[in-house]
Amino acid sequence: MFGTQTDPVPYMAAAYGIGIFVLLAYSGWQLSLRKKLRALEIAVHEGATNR
Amino acid sequence: MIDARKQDRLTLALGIAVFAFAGLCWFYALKFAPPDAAQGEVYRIIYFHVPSAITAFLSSAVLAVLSLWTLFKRSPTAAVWSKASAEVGLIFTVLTLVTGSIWGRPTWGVWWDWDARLTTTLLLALLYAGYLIFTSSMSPGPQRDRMSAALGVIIGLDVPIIYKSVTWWRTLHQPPSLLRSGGSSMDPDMVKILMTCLVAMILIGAWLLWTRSVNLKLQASIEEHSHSVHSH
Repeated sequence: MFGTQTDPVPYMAAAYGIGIFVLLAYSGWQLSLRKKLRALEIAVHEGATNR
Repeated sequence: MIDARKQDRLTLALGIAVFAFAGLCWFYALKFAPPDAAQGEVYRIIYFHVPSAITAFLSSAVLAVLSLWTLFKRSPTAAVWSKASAEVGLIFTVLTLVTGSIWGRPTWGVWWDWDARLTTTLLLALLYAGYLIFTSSMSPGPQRDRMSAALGVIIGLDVPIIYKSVTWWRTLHQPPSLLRSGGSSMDPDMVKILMTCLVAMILIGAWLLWTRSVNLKLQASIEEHSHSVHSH
């Protein structure tokens, strides 16, 4: 069988590596975006209050 | 503001928890799951690939339900959650295709084949991408919400086709191993590990959906307040 003759490690490493990287990257982006949006929310609120 | 800080801390804590749980599941699957009789060790990609696929399909179901809610109840909140579920669905569909391709190379000898399962899954990814491009290109408002919702329902219709593709057509992709008449063809230990990895992946998907939805709502709220400040 083709699969039992090929070294499986690079394929498993690639699959799990890419998968986990993408999920962590998207999560990190969302958490970082949350911080920026909170800061913007405060700025807009203060801008409305000062008028 | 205190509620917002608590919400953000809860979001981070839950995110760490779900990823830690998933990490444990994947470690266990890579280290302790029994090898496959035919494929040897490389089959372990299944513990990432199948949960990704099922999470992608669940996102599509969530999108379809939210889209119907948007159409009938005209709910702007449902429209926001729809966009988030389409993004999350796209990510998991792409991960399914990529991990499936990596698994296919050593087992089928090819990175890609135009068989029914792979083609309909690629179609799902393109539909998700089209939905997001369409939603971004229109101005916010009820008309955009309704048109996006109609597209969201159509996307949901692709999932049963993907699922049945391996029984309706002759495919390179294997037929169902879990949900089939006569019971699962997989080793019981493999099934238990797969189910645990599936739960972990669904939890990641749910957390991403929630986090993204809150961000989109926050963004919309800021834009609305910013417009009303400038118009006075």
